[in-house]
Amino acid sequence: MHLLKRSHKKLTREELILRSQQDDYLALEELIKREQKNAYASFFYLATEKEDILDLTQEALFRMAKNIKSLRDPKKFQAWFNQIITNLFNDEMRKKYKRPQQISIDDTSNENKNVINISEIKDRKKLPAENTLAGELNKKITDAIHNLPEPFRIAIVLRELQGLSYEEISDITQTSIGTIKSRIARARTKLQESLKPYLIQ
Amino acid sequence: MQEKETCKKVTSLLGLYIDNKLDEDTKRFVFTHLEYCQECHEKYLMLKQLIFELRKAYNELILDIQNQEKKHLFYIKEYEKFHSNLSAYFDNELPLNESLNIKKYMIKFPNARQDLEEMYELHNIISDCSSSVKKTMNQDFSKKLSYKIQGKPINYRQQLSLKIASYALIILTISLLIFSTLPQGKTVIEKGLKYFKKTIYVEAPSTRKLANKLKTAQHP
Ligand SMILES: [Zn+2]
Repeated sequence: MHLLKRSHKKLTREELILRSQQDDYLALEELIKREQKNAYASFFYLATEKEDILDLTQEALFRMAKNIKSLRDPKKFQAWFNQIITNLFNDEMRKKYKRPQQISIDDTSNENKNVINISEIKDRKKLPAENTLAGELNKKITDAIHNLPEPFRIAIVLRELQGLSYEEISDITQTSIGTIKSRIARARTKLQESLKPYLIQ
Repeated sequence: MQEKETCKKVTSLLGLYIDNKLDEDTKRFVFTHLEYCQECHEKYLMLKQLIFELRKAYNELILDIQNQEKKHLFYIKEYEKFHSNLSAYFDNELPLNESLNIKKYMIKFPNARQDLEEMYELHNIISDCSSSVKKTMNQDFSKKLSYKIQGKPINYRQQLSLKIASYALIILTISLLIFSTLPQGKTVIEKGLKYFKKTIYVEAPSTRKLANKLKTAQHP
């Protein structure tokens, strides 16, 4: 048993996925173990209330584990799992806010439909060592991301945290690549504005 | 005196005369006066020259301002295009020709590099921050979820061994109780204990000997 477990630790993610698909539950366990912190970090930036994060993380991991056999190409795991995360987050938001308010990120286009106003629900989460400069910066960036309108928040999390391509993000969010491109650009500009005092001049 | 009055009047009309804004009669009056009054004629020529020069300078100035504005607007537009594409350039998502434009722009305006550096910096901040968030996550869902998928209760392993042990204990006590109440119970239990002793203390060494014998037989 222990020998088996040790051997799973050395496997690549793709190997773990293939084994999980063949009912190797120890491989599945190892896969969950490796992905859970990543999912947690995504929800940390997506969700604006702390109490949700662990529940959402657990549910996303469960959906991933339960549906692992439906993933045809293990190489596409990253995008596939993030689709699960994003869908779960969207479902949760729809449940919570049945009548979304509008918020704008300086413009113009019809981007801003169905976006939730979360500006008043910030400052809820605590990060370690908040009094240090790094801690302060962490808090600043977290608040800045939380203050982005939802579609922008999702795009920047999928890009910056999960490293997905524009095409993958466009598939996940069912939006054109052009829109994704501008959402990411504008989210970055917004974040840079709010971090200006911390950035090198 | 009469003459002076006429000259004054003509002088005051010269501007309008030059711009051809007088009615026919007044125009003719000014024209005939200029024909014979040398002084007014000179004034007329000077004013005409002055107005011409002023207009020319004015027009040049306007054109210059317009050009500068256009140029400025072009620079702004060029910068805006650069900036809006920079994010995609940073993500390696721009088509080749457009990323060449970005590179050219940064060669033309070295200050523009700053924007790219800021993008790197933002990226580094986010990744530092997210790795510290990952460190704060101290729950492990792996076992729980894997059991959930398999349809096993959450403390499956402990529960399984606990169950087996408790069932075995119950069966043993019940059977002992039943046997002890039976008339032959005592003798049966005694026999059982004897057999138990025999197998553990007597037979066990002999089976070990047998096993050793077999081993040596296989590997002479
Ligand atoms: Zn005159």
